[in-house]
Amino acid sequence: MKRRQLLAGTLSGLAFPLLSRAAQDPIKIGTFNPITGPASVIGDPETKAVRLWVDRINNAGGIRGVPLKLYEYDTQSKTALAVSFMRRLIETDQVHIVVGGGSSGEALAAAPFAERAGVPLVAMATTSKLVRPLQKWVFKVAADEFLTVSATLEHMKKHGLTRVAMLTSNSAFGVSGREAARTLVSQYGMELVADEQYGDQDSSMVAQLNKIKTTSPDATFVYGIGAAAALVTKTHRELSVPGELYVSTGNATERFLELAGSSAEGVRQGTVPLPIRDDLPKGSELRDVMDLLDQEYSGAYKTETPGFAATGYDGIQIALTALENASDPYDRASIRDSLEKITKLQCINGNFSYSPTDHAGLGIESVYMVVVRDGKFRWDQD
Amino acid sequence: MMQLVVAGLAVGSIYGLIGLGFVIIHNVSNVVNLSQGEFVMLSGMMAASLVSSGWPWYFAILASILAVALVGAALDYLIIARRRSERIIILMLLTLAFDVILRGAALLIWDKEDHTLTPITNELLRFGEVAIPSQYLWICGVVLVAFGLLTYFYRKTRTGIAMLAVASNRRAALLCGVRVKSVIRIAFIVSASLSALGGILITPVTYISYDVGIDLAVKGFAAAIVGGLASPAGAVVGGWLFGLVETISAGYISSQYKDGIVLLVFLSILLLFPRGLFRRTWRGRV
Repeated sequence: MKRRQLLAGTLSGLAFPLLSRAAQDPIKIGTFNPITGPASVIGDPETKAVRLWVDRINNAGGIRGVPLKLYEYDTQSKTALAVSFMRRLIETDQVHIVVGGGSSGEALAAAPFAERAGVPLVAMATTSKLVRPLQKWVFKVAADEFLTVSATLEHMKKHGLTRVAMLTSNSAFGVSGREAARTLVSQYGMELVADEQYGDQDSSMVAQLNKIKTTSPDATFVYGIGAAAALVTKTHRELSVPGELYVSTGNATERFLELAGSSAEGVRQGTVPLPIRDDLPKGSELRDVMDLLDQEYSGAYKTETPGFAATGYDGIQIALTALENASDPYDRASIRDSLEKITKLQCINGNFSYSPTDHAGLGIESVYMVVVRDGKFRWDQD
Repeated sequence: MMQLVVAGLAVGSIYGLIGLGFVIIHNVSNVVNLSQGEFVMLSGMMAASLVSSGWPWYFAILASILAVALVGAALDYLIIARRRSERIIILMLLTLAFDVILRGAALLIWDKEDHTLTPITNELLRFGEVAIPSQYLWICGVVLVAFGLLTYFYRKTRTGIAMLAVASNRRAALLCGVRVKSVIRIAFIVSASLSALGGILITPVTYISYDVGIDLAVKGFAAAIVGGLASPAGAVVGGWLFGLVETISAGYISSQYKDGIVLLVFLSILLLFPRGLFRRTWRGRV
């Protein structure tokens, strides 16, 4: 293997780059995601989107005439498995690039191995800890909590809501959101009037919201996802807590609408634009990308396109773009360099531009403010 | 304050109901049924899916409670009755296995999403500043009625008295002609039905998903422990106690540390009153 790579290197130097090995050597892409287990709502659509696009590229003749080979593993939502699959991808499968991670915890645990082995990792996770501090081999796909929280606070400020009550889940996701919000609230010159927490399995949110009610905030900001966030929404309305209600990204789901029922009306969140696809002007670059994913995904899997398919789509697009432009798509280092040069790549999570100092790639304009009106998610353009 | 008390009592009633389930089974068989929480989950999930597939509400609820009662009977028939002679710890581990099986089955039959159910009535009652969803009152009321019926069952019916006899002294009861095996079977059915009722009551308030069983079981067990794992009244009061401590400490002390505070109260009760706050109700003749 070593020798063949050496040979390939020499050949590419001789300007016969890919011809000689196109037939036998595919470019190897690795992915590991929580396809089953509690985080499967995230990992399953992500993996399906990645698989779908690899197949699409192969059916169209591969990338630069070279077929792709996808190595995929199911972490079962277990961080320990994410680490061992990351190692297997690097050591046994010897992939050229890894697109994976699924949940923030798994991506964080696997990232040091990518960093040590020198394998480019396109991490499909939100947490800003992946890129703060910057890691040479790690790139991030989804908008992190600093972006979504900033966008949310900016929206509040624009509407004169300055006294903010925080209510956050005690999960890793909630804690990172809380940290970001505590830092940003003062930066925006706003005031944090309450800082309460809840557990995702709690049966009642009355205590926390009752306490928030006594502080009469301009807005309540809930950072958490799933049933608990819906329960908070319901209780917020029942206790008639004054002020607007904002929830964190990740709640633009049909399930949220179903569980919170009429309480969801008027709830806002800063998130990816997939749920409000119909509100975006037809013909815009972003709308086209989303329509393409929706058409392909629902065509291939005969289901509606879940929001997290967008992250899978973005991850594989970024990897493919890097492979397309790398000076040698079989060389991990040149794929990495090529990733860093990606500019203005229109994906669904936003318009990605990486640089040697920025491996997150997104700006605040990639976060869209979504509001629930008449039981539907709509784009809140105000 | 009022707001917190009502919420605490409602949630606590559910813990109490689950605690009752623990007590009923433990009294006759000495087994702590670790799959108790799954009965709550199963009935909630089943009712939610039946209603969403178009069944009338009351029908779906009856069917769910009956089905879970059967599951309770099955636990005894398939596992406990066959391994009667094993040590208690083995039986407890078997109920733990049953718990895992039920949870896995729920995941296969339904999905991993959260589901909800129409509440009994959907009004929001307002008393000045205090807003109480009517379902909270239903929960408290239904649990009290269920507790009353259970007391009546224990005091006045032959089966109930036989159950107390088995709890008090199995050998003596057997010698007196009590059919111990069927009494135990009935205890499992009653226990499962009560927990199933809890599932129906709590699903509209906190939603249900396949993995909530363990969490509810832990809180129900804590409630039962307050009564020394033997007294039904102790279980209900224990449930209220934990519901109140949980909401009031979250409301007045810190929502971040409320679980820690609940555990602290629980530990102190265990340390100060190792036999629980309530004495066995049937010391003496049955």
